[in-house]
Amino acid sequence: MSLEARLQNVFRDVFDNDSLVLTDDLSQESFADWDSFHQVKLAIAIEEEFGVKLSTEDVVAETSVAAIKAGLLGKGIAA
Amino acid sequence: MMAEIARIAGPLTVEMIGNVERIADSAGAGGALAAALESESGEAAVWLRALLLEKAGRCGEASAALRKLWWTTEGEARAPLMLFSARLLLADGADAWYPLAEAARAANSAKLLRQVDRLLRQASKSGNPPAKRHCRLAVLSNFTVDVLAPILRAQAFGAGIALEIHLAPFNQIVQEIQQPDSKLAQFQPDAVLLAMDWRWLGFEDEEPDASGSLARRVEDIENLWKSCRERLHCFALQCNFEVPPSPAYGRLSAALAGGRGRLLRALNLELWAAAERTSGVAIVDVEETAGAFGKQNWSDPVLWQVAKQYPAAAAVPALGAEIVAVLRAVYGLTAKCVALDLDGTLWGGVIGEDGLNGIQLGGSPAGEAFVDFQKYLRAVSKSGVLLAVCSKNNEADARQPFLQHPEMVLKESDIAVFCANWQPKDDNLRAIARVVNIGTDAIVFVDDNPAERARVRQHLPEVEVIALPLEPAGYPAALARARLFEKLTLTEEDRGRTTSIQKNLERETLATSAGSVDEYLAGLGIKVELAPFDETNLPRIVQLINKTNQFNVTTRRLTNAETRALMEKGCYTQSMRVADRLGDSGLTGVLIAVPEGETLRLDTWLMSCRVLGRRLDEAMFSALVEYARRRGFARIQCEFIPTAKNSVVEDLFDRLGCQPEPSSDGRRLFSWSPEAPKPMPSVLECIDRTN
Repeated sequence: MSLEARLQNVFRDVFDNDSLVLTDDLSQESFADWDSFHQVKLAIAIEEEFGVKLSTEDVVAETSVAAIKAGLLGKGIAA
Repeated sequence: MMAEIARIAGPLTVEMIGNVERIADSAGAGGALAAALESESGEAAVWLRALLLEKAGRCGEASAALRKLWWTTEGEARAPLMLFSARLLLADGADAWYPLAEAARAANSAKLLRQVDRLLRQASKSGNPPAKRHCRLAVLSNFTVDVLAPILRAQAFGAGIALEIHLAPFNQIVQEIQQPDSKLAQFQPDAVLLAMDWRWLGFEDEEPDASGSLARRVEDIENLWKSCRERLHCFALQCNFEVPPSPAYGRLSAALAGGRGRLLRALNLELWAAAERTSGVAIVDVEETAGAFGKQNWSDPVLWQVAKQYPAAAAVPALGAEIVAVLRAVYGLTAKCVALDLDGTLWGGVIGEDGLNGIQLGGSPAGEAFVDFQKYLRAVSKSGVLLAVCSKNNEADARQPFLQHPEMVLKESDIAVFCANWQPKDDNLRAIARVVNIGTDAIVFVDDNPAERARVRQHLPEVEVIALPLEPAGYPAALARARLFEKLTLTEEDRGRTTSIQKNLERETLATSAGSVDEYLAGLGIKVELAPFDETNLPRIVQLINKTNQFNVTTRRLTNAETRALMEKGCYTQSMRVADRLGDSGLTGVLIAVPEGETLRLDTWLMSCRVLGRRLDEAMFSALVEYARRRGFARIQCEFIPTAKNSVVEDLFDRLGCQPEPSSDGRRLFSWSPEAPKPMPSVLECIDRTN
């Protein structure tokens, strides 16, 4: 599965919404459900799915799909 | 594509599920491939077919296909299997409670448990989940518990407890408990989980007034309990405190009277004692759980700083399991009886074949592992859990080690019900439950044989079946991991339970029930190959001839040379190999018939006890009849020679439908006229190379 598809599954799981479609501009600002609590759940689910460890800075700063994808690519996850 | 499918043979693993999913993703129109896979019985092929059917929107067919794996799949693949099944059933509008509960019990990762909770909430929209108990649980905490809630809900559901969870606002423990109109009070909890971590205590690395600090904190906590009892009229589940690793003071943390490590240890002891004298309080042993999980990974420093997440997400299932174990104890949902297989479970080897001196028990590393398992079981029994024997054996053989083996830890007096016979084990478990007057859902079944475990899962899904590892040294941990015997306290009655049951026990004749044996056998996918003896398999055949005692109609022993002589003389020889979904049992059956004029005399017939109860006797006999018919014999003559060990075949020829023959000298002879064919059982897939 592509990074995009895996990340979409993570979002669907965390936001409990099977029809959620991932777009790069989806972010904490544009998506009302994406509060700090969901940010933590996302961080946990991303660590589980991709087997990576997020830094404090990653968790705080990666508040958009674009930023999360960039972060994962930076950690060597294949697109 | 077919080459890829060939690569996914063998037992199902998580890695293989990933491979299968990739194949399914790349498969085009799945209909043809799904149809091609229909005859495949390998677990991965079944999984692939189900994925393809799901893709084609045929969720009902997909779940029916997957259901065949429910009873046999164990290990890491069980939770994903049950989740997939539940997803398909829900998509098909069907009931998914069983696979959901099984998924919850088998899952050990946060990710899988969250998925269980998600499907559980989806399923709950169209009906209440089946549960033995309902519990409104409020969680008060100084750390973030949002991650815990879904996981705990899933785990509790797996234990038969429907949880409704209320999360109180972060770090407002005292306020919520004390205010009469708080959200917590309005929730009207049945139980409150007081989940504070060590930081909440505020202990310095070295406390100036150690005993004062300790006393104050114990008092604070006891006041919380009192409020739970008097204001909220509910049970208090108190988390004790992790002694965190890497203290600034190093080992001084424990060595100094005021060191934080020392104080935390003392506080935990005080809390155990306080809980013992206070009704309505139970301790959740966070310190033990963190240690067992591994303290280096118990905390996640990053998520603590970002979100006050505690423990680490990966550790949450361990904490949840501990909380559920306490809830089980509170509600008395603990197992009451362990039903034990004998051969391969309490000792190595087969008592009916190997004899008292041949079984592995003590005396060697493997033998010592069985001794240790017995010690573990005896301790379990001393805590008030009954032990029962549920074994396929002649009763006299089965009892012999209990009476005579010097290394046996368990004695007959430790066993409440002794059930050794040749009936299906699910029937025996029903009988055991009846005798000790408990429900079958309070039984834990322990057996090293995966086929028996599969049968019990299928026929008594409410029984807790423990998947023993191949390694006997791992047996105690496998049983302990399920946390089935937790109690809040031990009563005098608990201590004497086995004795009282034995006194009241009336020996019951265990009822037979044909049940749906064929359905079970069909699920095993048994493949049989019957072939004449040859040089390569001769050593194994001679070994079987000389050691098989139980399923052995004449118990004639033959040497290598004697057996070869019979082959050369033109006797009918038949060896049987058996395999099923669970593995290859190898060469496990031997039959020799000697032509004597118009009579074909059955001289030797035996089967390894590993494969009994699968209608293989009918298969072997069917091939013999076919041979006699083709060669124009007028009759097959059979003889049963009773021994101390072979009562399992006492009525074999009657069951097969042979005619008893009169005999003047007391021999038990039977005959069969080959004009009447003996059909091969249709549940077996049989290749007969002897005809």
